Amino acid sequence: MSGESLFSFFTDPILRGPTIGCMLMSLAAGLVGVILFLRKQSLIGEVLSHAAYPGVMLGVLVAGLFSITENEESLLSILILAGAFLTGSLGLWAIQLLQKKMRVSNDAALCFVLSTFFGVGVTLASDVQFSFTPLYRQVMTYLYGQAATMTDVHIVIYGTLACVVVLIILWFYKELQVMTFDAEYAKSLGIPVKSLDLIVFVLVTLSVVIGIRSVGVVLMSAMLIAPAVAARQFTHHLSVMLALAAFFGMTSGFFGNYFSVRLTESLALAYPATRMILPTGPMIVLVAGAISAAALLCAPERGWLVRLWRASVLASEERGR
Amino acid sequence: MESKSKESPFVLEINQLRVNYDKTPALRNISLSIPAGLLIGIIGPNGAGKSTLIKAALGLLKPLSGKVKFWNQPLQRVRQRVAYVPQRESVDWDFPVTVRDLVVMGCYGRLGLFHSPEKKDWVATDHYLHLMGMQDYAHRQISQLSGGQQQRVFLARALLQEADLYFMDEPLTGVDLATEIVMIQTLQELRKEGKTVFIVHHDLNTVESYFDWVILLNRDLIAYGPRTAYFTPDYLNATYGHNDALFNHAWPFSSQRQCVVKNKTAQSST
Repeated sequence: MSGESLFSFFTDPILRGPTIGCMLMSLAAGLVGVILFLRKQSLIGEVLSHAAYPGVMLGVLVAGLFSITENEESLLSILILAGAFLTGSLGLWAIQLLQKKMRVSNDAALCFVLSTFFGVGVTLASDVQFSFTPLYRQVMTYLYGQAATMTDVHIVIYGTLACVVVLIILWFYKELQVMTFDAEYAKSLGIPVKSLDLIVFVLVTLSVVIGIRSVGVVLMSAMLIAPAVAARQFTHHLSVMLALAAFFGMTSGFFGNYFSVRLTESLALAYPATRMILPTGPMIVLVAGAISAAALLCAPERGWLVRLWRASVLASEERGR
Repeated sequence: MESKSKESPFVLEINQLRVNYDKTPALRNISLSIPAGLLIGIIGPNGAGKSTLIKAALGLLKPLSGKVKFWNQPLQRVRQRVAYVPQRESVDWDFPVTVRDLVVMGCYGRLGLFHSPEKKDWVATDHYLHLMGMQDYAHRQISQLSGGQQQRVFLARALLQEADLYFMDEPLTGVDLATEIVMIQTLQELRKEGKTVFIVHHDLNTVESYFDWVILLNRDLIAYGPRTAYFTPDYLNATYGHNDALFNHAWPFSSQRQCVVKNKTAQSST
């Protein structure tokens, strides 16, 4: 692992698209994920990504109807993203409706919306498979993600999103802090909680919708929550937690790409017959998961192993007396 | 401050307030007028709508009907003059925030959007932490606080708002005696400065020694006014209904307990 080969991930015309794109995507997702995590709404990310799936299919179907081919990639992407944003928002609205008006409990509403929307998505997908077969490959891209085919265009899209997220969190830091801690108290201070809530949910939806291109519908919620879980272990300050989550997100984005490329190369050398390919999206999620696991076990003060060790030291001191 | 001269003599006026949770009425036809400079206990059994009354007054939940006015103005115009202390159990005490960061939230409303706390806000934060005896905990994470300390921190945050009217939801529930004394002394100081404090209170034994006025509530407004006139067995029976046997049982203890608390208060203030 020489320094030059690490650096080449940022310069190589084929590698830089997925690498930088995934890092920016994970940065945005990690930041909005902290807010969801602290509001105890972690599952919202999971529901959103699954609810976006039928939107992806709708986008493809519309593209098919207007005989847009798989070669007109940017137009296709826009249709797909618009569809995903639409059904994702619809999913959020359905959760609100179920909870507030029909008094379905929170977890039941989340499960119900997740599976129903995903069911619609899968049904539409099988339709696409036969009616617009050339576009079906695109559809599969969004289910499991396909970072390797990302280009410089994606760097621009993810860069813009990441900038917007960072700026909004910097501008409204103190409002987001107090309303995440205690929304009613924030309201009593005269803070526009409703409008800020809306902004937060637009950001979350955007992050998820844009993120599914690289890690896929099924794995996206990990990119929201894993960095937050890890960051929470190291600090008692929200500002530090946000910075750490952003850092862990970017680290996962980078090393997910790195391992995907390098391990696939070494596997090809070691077992030329198997033709194993390690996909990037799952590698990013695995790296994020490994960081969280390490933090949960070994973080100073809050880590499980550290607490076990401290307890055993205390116990032996007791015996010594 | 020219508006102050024209101000209504009442800090809070509630007119025909009605709040429902779905179809169950939580508060029915509440009308009140409260003058300034009083410590007021809001008293009633569980589920009587005490917290609901506070939240409706603060605009935190939408009433079915009725009007709430502060100094004869709607809440939006005087928001910075009204402070709220929520129930301790209503927040996640494992939230990543230190004691000092939590207290400084008290000035967020005054600061408005796009302004961060400045040096003078931090100085005020430290001052109120000190006043509550919490200066040594300033940089601790809030999960490390005991119940009494959590409540002191909440009060420090409300004091930082430097409001004229305070709503406190059960600030004295589950706190140690030392905290209770510190808090009541602080609230009595506020009253001396002409401020008004509403306190949702559960301990009937201490009502006599703490409050100037009482609001007796059980979904309907049973009575409100000076404690001496309305904190009587008759009104309490009307408020607590079938629990009056319990109340009669508790009554003899109240005078003893008051003496203890009053003595402690006297000792600690000298």
